[in-house]
Amino acid sequence: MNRLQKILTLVLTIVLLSGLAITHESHIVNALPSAEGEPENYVFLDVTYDPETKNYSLSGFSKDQLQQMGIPELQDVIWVILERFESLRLELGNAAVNLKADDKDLATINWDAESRDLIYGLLDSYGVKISDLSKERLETWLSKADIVLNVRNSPEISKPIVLDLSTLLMVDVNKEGKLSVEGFDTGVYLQPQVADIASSGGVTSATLCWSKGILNSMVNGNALPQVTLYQDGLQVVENALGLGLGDIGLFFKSQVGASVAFDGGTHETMECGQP
Amino acid sequence: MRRVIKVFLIIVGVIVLIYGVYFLMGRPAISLPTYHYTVPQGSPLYDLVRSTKSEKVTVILNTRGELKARDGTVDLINLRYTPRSFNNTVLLASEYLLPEDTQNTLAKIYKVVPLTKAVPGIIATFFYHVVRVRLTVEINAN
Repeated sequence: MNRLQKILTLVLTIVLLSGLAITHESHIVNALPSAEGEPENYVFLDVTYDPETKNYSLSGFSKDQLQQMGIPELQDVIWVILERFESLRLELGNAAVNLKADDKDLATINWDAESRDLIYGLLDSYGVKISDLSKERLETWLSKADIVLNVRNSPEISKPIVLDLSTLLMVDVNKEGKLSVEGFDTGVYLQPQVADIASSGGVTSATLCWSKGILNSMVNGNALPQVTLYQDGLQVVENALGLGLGDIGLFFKSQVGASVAFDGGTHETMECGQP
Repeated sequence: MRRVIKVFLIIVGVIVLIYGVYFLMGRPAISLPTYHYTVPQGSPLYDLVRSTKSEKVTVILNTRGELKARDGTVDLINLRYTPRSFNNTVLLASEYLLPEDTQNTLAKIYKVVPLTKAVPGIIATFFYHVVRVRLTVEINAN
């Protein structure tokens, strides 16, 4: 009997130790939240223009590529303004908007949530209707914004876009497949097959976040496995399948995510880039 | 009867002892023999495997929650899962991959025995927490 007690004690000890180890392993480590109002959404847009050849480039795309995407030719009046400057830089932050011309400060507008609310009211009075939801989302973005638009006179191709967004884009898809982003109607319709795929799987919401090589996803609020892509690995796939991804290195410097709600579903949130 | 109990307890004791040693070693993944697979020409995977430096792709599943594909020593893709995310994926995939009849039958079973819905998760949990194995598949293109 003494022996039986010893075996039972050993079994219990191992079970308890296993339980402790498992509980310890399932702890979720959350990133420290940043201070409220601190810039978290960084966007860098580079534009180059050459008044002599009337060539321009945006975020690494040439004039021809931009026109293939449906971006129209710049009007003469814009060229007249542009050729007077060597560079223009617009910095949009949570506390101020700065405009620089030829590396010299041109104007600064200090703003906060209250003053931005006045701007929304002003826009309303000029007939630009912004819904309360859109105002709320706009404020979420602007209170954490660190956006730089760099426009410079140069014949070279502009630098690629840099996106490091901690706020998820809120995307809604209605029954007809109409797409709206942050409450603004884009006028774009998803192909019927995409909406069908979502409805046949009972998907009401999907959240995706790409963070410098790590892809987190959730469907209907349920987390799916985390995928890590490597630059060398993606290059192999690109070479083999010719996906036309362009500058792959750019993907591994960016963070961007979206919360998609189908047909009135709820938006889910998640931490980007967390293991 | 006492003899049966004694034999049973000895077997349990040996299992507990072996598992105890395995546990104290940090529950390392037990490697299973490597499975070799040759992709025939014309397969969608063929070009992908041929375009790698080593001309072979190694897929390694570690039931500790990792599935990775490598080209020699270069990592191509890594997928990390937990028993919960594994179960979520299986349930989502079953909505798309299983025929409607099978889905209806499963829905009936889930209604009567709700625990069956968690079976893939339970299996994944066992191999994730209790006994971990490593399965390697080497994919070559001829």
